[in-house]
Amino acid sequence: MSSLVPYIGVLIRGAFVTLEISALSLLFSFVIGTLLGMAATSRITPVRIGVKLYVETVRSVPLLVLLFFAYYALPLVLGVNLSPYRAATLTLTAYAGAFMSEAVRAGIQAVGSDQWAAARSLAMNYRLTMLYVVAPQALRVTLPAAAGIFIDLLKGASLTSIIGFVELLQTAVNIRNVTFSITPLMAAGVLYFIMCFSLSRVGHRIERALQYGGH
Amino acid sequence: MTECILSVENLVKRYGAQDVLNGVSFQVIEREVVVIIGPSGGGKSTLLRCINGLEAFTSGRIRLDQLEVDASEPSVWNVRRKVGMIFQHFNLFPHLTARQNVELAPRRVLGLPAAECRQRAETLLSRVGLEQFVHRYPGQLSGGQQQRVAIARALAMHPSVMLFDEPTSALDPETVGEVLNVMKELASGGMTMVVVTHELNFAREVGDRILFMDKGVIVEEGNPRELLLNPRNPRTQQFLQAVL
Repeated sequence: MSSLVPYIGVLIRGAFVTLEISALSLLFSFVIGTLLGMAATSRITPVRIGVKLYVETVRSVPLLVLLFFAYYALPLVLGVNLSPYRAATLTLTAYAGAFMSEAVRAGIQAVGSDQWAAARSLAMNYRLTMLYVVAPQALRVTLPAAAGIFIDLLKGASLTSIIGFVELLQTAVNIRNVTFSITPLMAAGVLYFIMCFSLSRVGHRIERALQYGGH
Repeated sequence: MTECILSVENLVKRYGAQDVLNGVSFQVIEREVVVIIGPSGGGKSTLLRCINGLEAFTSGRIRLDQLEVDASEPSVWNVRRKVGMIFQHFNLFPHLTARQNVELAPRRVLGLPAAECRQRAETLLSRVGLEQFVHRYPGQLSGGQQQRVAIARALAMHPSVMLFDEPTSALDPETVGEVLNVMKELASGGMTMVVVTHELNFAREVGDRILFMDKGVIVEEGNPRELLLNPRNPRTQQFLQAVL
């Protein structure tokens, strides 16, 4: 256990790297997810089909395979060479984006057509209705789901070590290779748990906050 | 000289293989209260939804206050500003308080200043007897209270015509009265109203004209007191016998 002490700082930095890449991917995927989620409810059929294709593809392929593809195959296919950091962020974003779009779509569709009818009868156009009537109600479904996606991202970030990205898990493995002790791996596990569990609690708090107001 | 404010001519709406509306024609003049009765599925709701452009129709013509109603044209928004609609299930915005429900459209659609919208909302809620409930959410209100908020919300847009789609059908019998009273007050204040309802007493007391609709056509129309006592058409007689 004492052999771990000099490495604690490094481990914590690794945790921060995991957090950073997850948060960044979450942010981007939220933007993409919102746009795609809205597109998924579009009246234009080709748009809806396009979104569905993207979502089903990403959801049906393991994250590990997506990571490999982004890092090893993209240079061959598109001539684009990505650093492990960029490949990792891109892949995590694309991955979470698919789930996020489903969360947004579910949120929008959870708001019944009666709300649209009422807004329309008050002469509120699409933009106004989305902004003031639908989005606030959709968030009640979308935000809790988004918290879950964030937790998945944090765990998924550990896979990025496979393409050479050094985050928490890889850091722990590196320390283990030096100290020949499994303690760093256990410490990494604890750090993962702390991050994910805290997020889960935040998610619950958000869910409860959205219930208030006699909805 | 009272003007014709709403004119429906040969309205047909086909939904797949079904003719929901099969050639409906009638006119409403200013300050008139027209009550529409009839069995479910007769096309009454669809008719209302066509009038304010919530639904498109297959053929025919609807004119409101010199505007042509065409759900596929951008001009339909002008129609929607002039027509207020009250729904059977109130359709209040659950995440907003009563006052916020009422002030939302004037603020964001008409662009009126916030203070004015707030003032008007409070006045309207007072008018329907809900000044104590301005800060309550719909989930904290009874059905009758929610429907009254809905009426205030529609009034906030200064409509020329108000459409009511079975406004009391989803209410407990005790709260039906409070909503009907608000509607009676609106009528005596000169609002032009088209009301789809099963409340025949309301039709008798407040209606200027009554239309009986079945299977997408107006079967009979006339003075409420006369028609309800002495329906001439056998289908009308059949319906009223079952209901009265």
